Amino acid sequence: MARFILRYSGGAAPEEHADLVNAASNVKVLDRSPKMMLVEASEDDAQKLAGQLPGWSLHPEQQYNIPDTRKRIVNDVEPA
Amino acid sequence: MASTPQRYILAPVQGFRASRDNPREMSLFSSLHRLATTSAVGALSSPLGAGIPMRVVDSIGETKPKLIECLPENLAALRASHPSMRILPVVYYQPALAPRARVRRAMAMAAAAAAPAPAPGLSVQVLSGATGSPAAGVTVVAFTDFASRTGAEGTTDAAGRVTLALGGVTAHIERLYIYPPTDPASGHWPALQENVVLNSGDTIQLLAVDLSFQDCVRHFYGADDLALGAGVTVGVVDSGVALNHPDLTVSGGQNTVTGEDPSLFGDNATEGHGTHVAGIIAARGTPPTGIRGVAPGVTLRSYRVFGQGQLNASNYDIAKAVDAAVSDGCMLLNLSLGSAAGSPPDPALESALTDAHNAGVLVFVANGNDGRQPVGYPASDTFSQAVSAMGRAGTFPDGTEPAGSVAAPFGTDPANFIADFSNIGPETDFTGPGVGVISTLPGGYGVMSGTSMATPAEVGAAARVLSADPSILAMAANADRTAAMIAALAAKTTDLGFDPTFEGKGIITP
Repeated sequence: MARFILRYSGGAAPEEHADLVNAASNVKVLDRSPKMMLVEASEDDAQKLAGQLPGWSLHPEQQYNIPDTRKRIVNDVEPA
Repeated sequence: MASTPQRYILAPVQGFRASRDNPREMSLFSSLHRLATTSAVGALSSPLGAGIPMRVVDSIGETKPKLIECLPENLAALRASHPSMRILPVVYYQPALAPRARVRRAMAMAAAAAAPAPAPGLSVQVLSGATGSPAAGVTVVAFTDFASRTGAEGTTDAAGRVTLALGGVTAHIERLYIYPPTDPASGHWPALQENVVLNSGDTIQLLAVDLSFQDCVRHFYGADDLALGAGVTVGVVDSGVALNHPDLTVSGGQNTVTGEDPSLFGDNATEGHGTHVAGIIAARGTPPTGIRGVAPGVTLRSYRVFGQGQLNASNYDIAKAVDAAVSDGCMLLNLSLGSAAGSPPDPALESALTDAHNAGVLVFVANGNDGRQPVGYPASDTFSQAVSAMGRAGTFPDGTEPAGSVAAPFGTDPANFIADFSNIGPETDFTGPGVGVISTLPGGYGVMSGTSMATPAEVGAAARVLSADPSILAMAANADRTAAMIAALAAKTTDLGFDPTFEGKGIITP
């Protein structure tokens, strides 16, 4: 199981599409916004579902960081 | 430094074909299609006046994407003059061969050897510059060899003491970095001492932040007028903004972190990053008791994408924040976040950034701090305004950590330099002051450096430019407004004398 983003290209997504996703047995909806849904499913199930939803694209969830400038030790000092 | 022409794909703002509803786009793609039949280097006509040398190598069709060749340093000018066009890198794929196994480290031999005796420690104490009392939670990083990043580090305890495993009670330290915590008790400059002999029992006193000090942001953008930036709504997509800081007025926002309360868009109790970013843009305090941002008159909104106590954010939560900020009427967005240098595009964020562009919203993104590495994503997205970090000699006190970021290249004014940590590349649109920046933190003030700080400085400067242009403020929120904003900013950008891969078109000068 992994987390995937379904994103609708256009304005607000049609309500019947959301109903279809909610009804899918192997897909858990974690969050929803007017244009997107965050779902948990196997890749096969997620792709199958996206294929039934015209105007939607499927993307894997990824993580981003705050860029840091702090210098860090990579190698410890050898014991004397 | 001479560079060679590179290939890029010019694509319509959306989809694969130029839209017949957009006569300017149709005309541009038709003229490029005609150029594809010649091998001559042409100049793409620019509403800004200057022609941009380029060659159209191929065209898929009259209204379809073009393969062009131009110098990487001309990309910033190309984006500025034709903002409703996507400029995409040409990506080459390789056979998916299994990687050869490589020895990473002689772990087996190391494990077989007897465990070494614990190294003797070198104990130092760090004191507050303001009170002289022990400073707890300070990270001390001692490099015996900076090039190989060899040394020892630790964090001070309640007595301000830390023991460093440096192999003895005396050590020659090539660089000693001291990073104060970013909590309400901070209020100190991070310190840097070079080529010092450290003895066990030494004490180090931090330098307290003087809010009247002219740092690099105040040098370029000192703002006396509290109305600067008025009429422009700015969204900070970050770790949240402290809602009770006396210098900040947050008009609203949303927490888009999945599973958290959407109304909690205040600081997420990590390092105060979003609060620092927000203060650079919009702080309304007055030194010496407060701090003033670049555009204190903007309407500030906070979109929290880092979970409570978390230092990473999901692309879903970021895309949702961008959508929400667009819907809430923001004109400018600040994204001081990103993936590792040179990461490939992320289609989920790409789609949100395209929608923001088409809705009249300009998104500024930090280049990243990997040290002269390629620009990270989403800064490298064709619709992002990517910002590198510069610094200026004389805008940080002696003995402070920003001195370690001074590096070539230097500008036409040799006091200006591109920070050693800044990522660079042809995707860079602007440079901004980001070395040793004083700003707000939850419960106080502190100093941070990074492209994370350079980006809000340019967002604030952009807000000042747009605020002074009633025709742009009156425009409908669509791609035409985005194009007008980019053109207005390009006309108010100063070349500081760096290569465009370091500074894009330069620094915004409102």
